[in-house]
Amino acid sequence: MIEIEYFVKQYRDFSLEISMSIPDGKVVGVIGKNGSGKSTTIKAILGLVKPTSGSVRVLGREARELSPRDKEKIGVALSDSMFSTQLTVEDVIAILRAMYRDFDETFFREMCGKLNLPLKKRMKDFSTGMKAKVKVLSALSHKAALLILDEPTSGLDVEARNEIVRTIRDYAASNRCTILITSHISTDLEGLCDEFYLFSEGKIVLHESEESIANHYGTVQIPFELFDTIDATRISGRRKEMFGYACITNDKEYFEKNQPELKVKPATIDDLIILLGGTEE
Amino acid sequence: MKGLFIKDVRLILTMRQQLIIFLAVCGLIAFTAEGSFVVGYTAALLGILGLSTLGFDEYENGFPFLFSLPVDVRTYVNEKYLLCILLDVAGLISGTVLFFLACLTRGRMAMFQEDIVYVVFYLPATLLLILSILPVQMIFGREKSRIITFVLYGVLFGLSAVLAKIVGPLDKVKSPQNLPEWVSNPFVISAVLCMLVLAVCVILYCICLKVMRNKEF
Repeated sequence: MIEIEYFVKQYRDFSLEISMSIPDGKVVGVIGKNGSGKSTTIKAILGLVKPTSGSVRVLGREARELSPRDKEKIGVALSDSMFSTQLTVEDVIAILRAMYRDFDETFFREMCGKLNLPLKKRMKDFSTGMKAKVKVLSALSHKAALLILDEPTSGLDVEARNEIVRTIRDYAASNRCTILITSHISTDLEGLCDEFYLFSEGKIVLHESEESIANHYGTVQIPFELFDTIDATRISGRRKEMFGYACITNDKEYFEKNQPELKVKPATIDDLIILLGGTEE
Repeated sequence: MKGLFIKDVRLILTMRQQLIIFLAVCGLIAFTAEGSFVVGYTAALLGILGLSTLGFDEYENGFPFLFSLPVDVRTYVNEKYLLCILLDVAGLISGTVLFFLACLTRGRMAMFQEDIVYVVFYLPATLLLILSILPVQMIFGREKSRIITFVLYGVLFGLSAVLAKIVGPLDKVKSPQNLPEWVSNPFVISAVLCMLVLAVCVILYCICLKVMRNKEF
């Protein structure tokens, strides 16, 4: 579905260098701190930026050459861009109806009702949460084969976030489509994604299935006095804290077996982002 | 393209209050000013309304989402050109109707008959105005394009003023002898001007399309 090969995008003060492959039907989470290159990757997949080198192929075509027909198969919600907020949801419905042959107006209107979105109010008067709901609904409402959701819950309160995450989860459960979702909020992605890519400073520092993360990754609290005695190759990332080092390992069984005195916990996505997304002393 | 049209028409309709004020001003000009100025004014005004939809697209970083919809750059550029041309022509027609109504109610049909021929000049003039601003705005964005257009038109007006000073008043300029009659026919002159404007606009369109295709959003 998406093939990114040796993609490089060079900016004056930032460089993104990645390769990734997203097969059909997978739900893939792209995680990482702000500024790690997630949104640039999304833009590259949508053909909105030109690669400095390498290639990005989507639905079997170069991303910059996607035709309007190809784009009908892609549902997109971007974190910082949407329809003009001068428009109303009713206007958005009219536009989507004209743009997508498979636009499901009934679904869109039903969901607007469920999510309490007023149809005739200008979106400039909407809250951030309401705007986010319109973005996600626009992406979900035309039977897309590929969903690209860039930080769909960024800047939202807990209630709005839960509603959006529930909508995405329901959609993913009832439709066989490929989903690429970026977020720096771990709970949004837990239980939703089949695999994860972790970005840090423009590079992929981890690519694992959810199962592998659950089975092998863990956090270990290591006091300062014990740190030098630990096999450093078992540590993937660490952070200095009051008591010692908070470390992440991709071999938590090793610590459970060989160092039972250390506290080992299963790693959460937040742990991955914090401890792998840029090692801190 | 249909979806883009719907978007732009709905965006224009969000400016209802401004539209009403514009139309009132046009009406005021038609019923108070002498000559056919209102025709050009209405055409230019509606054309500029078409240009304003670009500002809406650009505002709040709208382009990345817009180009993630089933729209390619060529369709987007074509739609903007078509919208501006249609609005300009609609303005020309409604301005002419206003001019006619004003002349009729003011009992100045002679002025209408005398000036109606000059209406044909407003088409190339207003099209040149709108279709030269459009690519500049598309390529450079709303803020930069304001400065560029201001400087560009400042230079053009400056050159015109210098030229006018050199040539002197038009009615005192001697026309070359033995020119065929059709040369002074306003419709022929308008047609020639339209062709020239068309040529300029096609060149600008091609440049605009090329730049937009290479643009990143």
